[in-house]
Amino acid sequence: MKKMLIGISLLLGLAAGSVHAQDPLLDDVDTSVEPEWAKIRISFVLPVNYVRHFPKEHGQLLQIFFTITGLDTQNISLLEDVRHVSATPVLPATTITYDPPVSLNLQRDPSSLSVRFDRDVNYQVRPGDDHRSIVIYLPVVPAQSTPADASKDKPAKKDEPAK
Amino acid sequence: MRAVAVFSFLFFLTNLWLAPAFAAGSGDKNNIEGASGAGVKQYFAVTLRSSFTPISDKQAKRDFPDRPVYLLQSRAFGKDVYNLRVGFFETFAAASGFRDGTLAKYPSARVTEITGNEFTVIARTFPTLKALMPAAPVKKAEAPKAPAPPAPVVAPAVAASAFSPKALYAVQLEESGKAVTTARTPLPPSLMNYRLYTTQTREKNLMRYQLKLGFFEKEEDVYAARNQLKTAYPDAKVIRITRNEQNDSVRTALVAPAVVPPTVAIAPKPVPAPAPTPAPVAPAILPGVTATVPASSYDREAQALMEKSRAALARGDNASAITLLDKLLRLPPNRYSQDAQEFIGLARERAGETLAARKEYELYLSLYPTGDGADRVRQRIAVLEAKAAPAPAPVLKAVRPRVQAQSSIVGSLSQYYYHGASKVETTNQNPATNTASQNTLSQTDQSALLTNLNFMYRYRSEDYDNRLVIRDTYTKNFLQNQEDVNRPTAVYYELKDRKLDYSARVGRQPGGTGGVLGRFDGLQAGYNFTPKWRLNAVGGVPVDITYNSSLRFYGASVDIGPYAEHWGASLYTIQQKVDGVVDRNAVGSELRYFDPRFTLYGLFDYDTEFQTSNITLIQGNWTGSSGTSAHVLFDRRKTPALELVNALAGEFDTSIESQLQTKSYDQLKQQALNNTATTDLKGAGVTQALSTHWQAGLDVQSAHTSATVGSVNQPAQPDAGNTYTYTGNIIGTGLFNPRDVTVVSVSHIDAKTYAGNLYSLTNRVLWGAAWSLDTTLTWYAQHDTSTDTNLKRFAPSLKPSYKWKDNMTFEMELGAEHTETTGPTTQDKSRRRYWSLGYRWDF
Repeated sequence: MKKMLIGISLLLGLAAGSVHAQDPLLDDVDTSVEPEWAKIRISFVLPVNYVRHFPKEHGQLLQIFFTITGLDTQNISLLEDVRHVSATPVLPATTITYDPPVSLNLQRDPSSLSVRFDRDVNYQVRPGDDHRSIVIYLPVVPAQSTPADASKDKPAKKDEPAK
Repeated sequence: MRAVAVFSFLFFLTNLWLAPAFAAGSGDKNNIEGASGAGVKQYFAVTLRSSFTPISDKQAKRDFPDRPVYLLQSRAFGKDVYNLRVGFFETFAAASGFRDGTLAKYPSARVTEITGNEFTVIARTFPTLKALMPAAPVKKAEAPKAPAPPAPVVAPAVAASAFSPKALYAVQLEESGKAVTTARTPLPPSLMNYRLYTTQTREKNLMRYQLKLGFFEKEEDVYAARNQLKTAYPDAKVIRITRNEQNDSVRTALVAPAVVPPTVAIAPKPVPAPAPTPAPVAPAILPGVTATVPASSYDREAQALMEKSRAALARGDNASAITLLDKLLRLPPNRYSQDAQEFIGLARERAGETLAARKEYELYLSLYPTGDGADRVRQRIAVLEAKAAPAPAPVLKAVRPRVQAQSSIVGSLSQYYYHGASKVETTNQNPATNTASQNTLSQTDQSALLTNLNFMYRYRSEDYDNRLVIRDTYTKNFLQNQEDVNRPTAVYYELKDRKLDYSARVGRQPGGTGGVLGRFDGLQAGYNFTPKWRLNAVGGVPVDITYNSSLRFYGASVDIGPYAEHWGASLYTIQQKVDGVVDRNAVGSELRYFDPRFTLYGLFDYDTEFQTSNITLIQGNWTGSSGTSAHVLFDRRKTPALELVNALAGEFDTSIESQLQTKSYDQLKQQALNNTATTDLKGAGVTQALSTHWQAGLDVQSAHTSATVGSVNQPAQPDAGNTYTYTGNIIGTGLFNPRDVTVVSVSHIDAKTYAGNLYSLTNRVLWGAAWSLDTTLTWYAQHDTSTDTNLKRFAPSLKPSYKWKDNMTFEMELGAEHTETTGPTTQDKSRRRYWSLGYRWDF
């Protein structure tokens, strides 16, 4: 505990040495797994209003559009921001990229999130219940599964099976 | 300008040319896993779903009664994985075709090439497949032969076309108010290979039962069959049925009486006395609880409702589940009615409607008094009676798995170099002398290296969730007179105690809740003193302050809900002080409504010191079932947020303490109000899916910023008037590549002093497993009526990226921006070119 407090003190000291710059809009990207769904919750530092997403429920590249509603004096960065979710048995590796609107007018035009999965997935997209997040639901599918009794068989080949 | 246009055109040609080649090499095999070597007999199955928790195969067995449905436990990533599969297919194409038909209900279904061993083991337990089994190797020492299991009763054989997706015609032989249990007459030999089956429907609270014969692909065949049976069934008619009915018919199939040809005499053969015929038993693969319910024409609707309700239950959205299940149960009896009756009891139980849950369970027992489901329901009633804590559903197994203590470090480190160079040519016309003067300015306006660190250490155990988060951006500027900047945007430690239900976060963190306006250094903590009431406290120092004053705040809030499943609220009070006097003293509330289809969020912030509202915000979303969605927004707020420090705008002395030497506190408050505008933002939009590949959207927005009075050192700002923006966009996929997304957007902006049009095209395409390319083209034209000035801007950009291995990404961006501003006497032409290059390491 003592070491932890020292660490926190050092970190706060680091924070105290900051100067004014631009804030990234993306906050945490958190994942959780339930029996039927895996969730990717993308949180923002400001309230956002989900606008639309595309494609609707299937694909490898998903684009989510939203507007920033709590924009005030915060100096939000107009650079893209990236969060990465490593692959797990139930989640594909996922890269989430924040893109400001092409007009760079954060108040007027929707920003977008580009969500790239490392394989085709089915999903649902919903605004988060805290209105500072957007949630992607994915059906639980392991990235790799092998029949238990197949261990004695030869290793699987990646070729496409005969049509 | 011309060079940029030519460059963009060439790029699109290149994109079009390259797309198919890259698509072919992308390795996208449409969700197939596993394979075997060439020359070996291949077997395919469709893995319907997988889970780390045991899953039930009951529903799938109901869905595919004529196919082997089985569960397979395996190990992946050190965990047990349960696979639910349906077999078997001799070719990938056949399996893929079958999978396509299951996607509506099993969206994660995928084709799996299984081992011969798996096929043999499963086929052995499925008698109708034994013929397909490869010959077993002869063993020298055979084990004692086990008695053969009793052969289950299977549906009568049907013509090969019977299961064809195209065979959607049937003959409805008769319909009556009594259940049909047999055919009136034997079928002609030519129709013996078709399936005789029953269905039932409800009309005006009366059950109707149908006897049908199927399935036919061609109209001439089905009409010929009807004519053949016209004598026995004068009311027979041709109908079109669904694929679900085709599948379900296995469960309600009847054995047609055999035809004895009248003209052929067959010599009787002596036969041994028949053994006593056992009573027909349902085959092992048939469902246990609803197998006796005949298929009905409502199954498709019921199936959709059941899936949605299951998803809602899995999400914990019990109210939606209840609504959906209630709708399902109002349908005529169908194959999902029984499960729905159990689920609605469960949903009500989870929603806290104990009495209603018990009534639903009792209704279940009166309708379905026997079977596994009845046992489960009795257990649920026992639990309710004992007033024990609600247990998870036996079918959904919504048990939170025990969390093993584990630690992880995730994040990324990236470095990007940004370079920008601009050239501005200004031409001034002198009408008096009819001469022109020209000035040119060229400069490098950006040369910086940005290093981003995003680090999170997490330690989770059964009771605790600890996180240490560090996000920092360091900007190294290479231009003269520009300082290097280090920006730790988040540096905090967070602890959540699941057992005692409290959490705390200390350090630099984002604000935004509980009346905290922005990022701050400090502490926030919360404690759930009941499951639906949470008390929070917050205190700290705002960051990003450019004033020479000292600010600090403290506040408290209560989170309430959810109530009535969907509603939640927060109430807060917060006080912020600057140099010892009140800077902001606010009370506020957040109101939330959350439903999978509809969400609403409201925020009201009122400053008791200034006695005026600071923020009034309402936003909502609605998602329809036919690919339609809509959003609305109303946002009225003080800009900047109302604080005493707003009085410092324009002042040379930015210390409240110093200002109070010459002005009273009330004078400073008035000055703050005079420097603060009110912004109104109203917006609405609708989205409509045009197909699986295209979607259209329309957004309308109105923005207005009021005038400010200003102060001695801060000029008054005029009313900006209303700015209306109308945006239409089309979003599509598959334009250049099966894995691309293209957004075409057109906006018209109508403001008090200007009007403009913005056209943009954005294309993001994935090439293979490693490459991606973003292309953006924007064109903006504006006319300012107050200065009679025209502005045109064209900005193309390209952003390729390459992913090396699993965690390293290299990115580059090339862009240009050409702007031309033409006024009555002045013309400016600016050209900016920029590029960036960097990498990101994800760890």
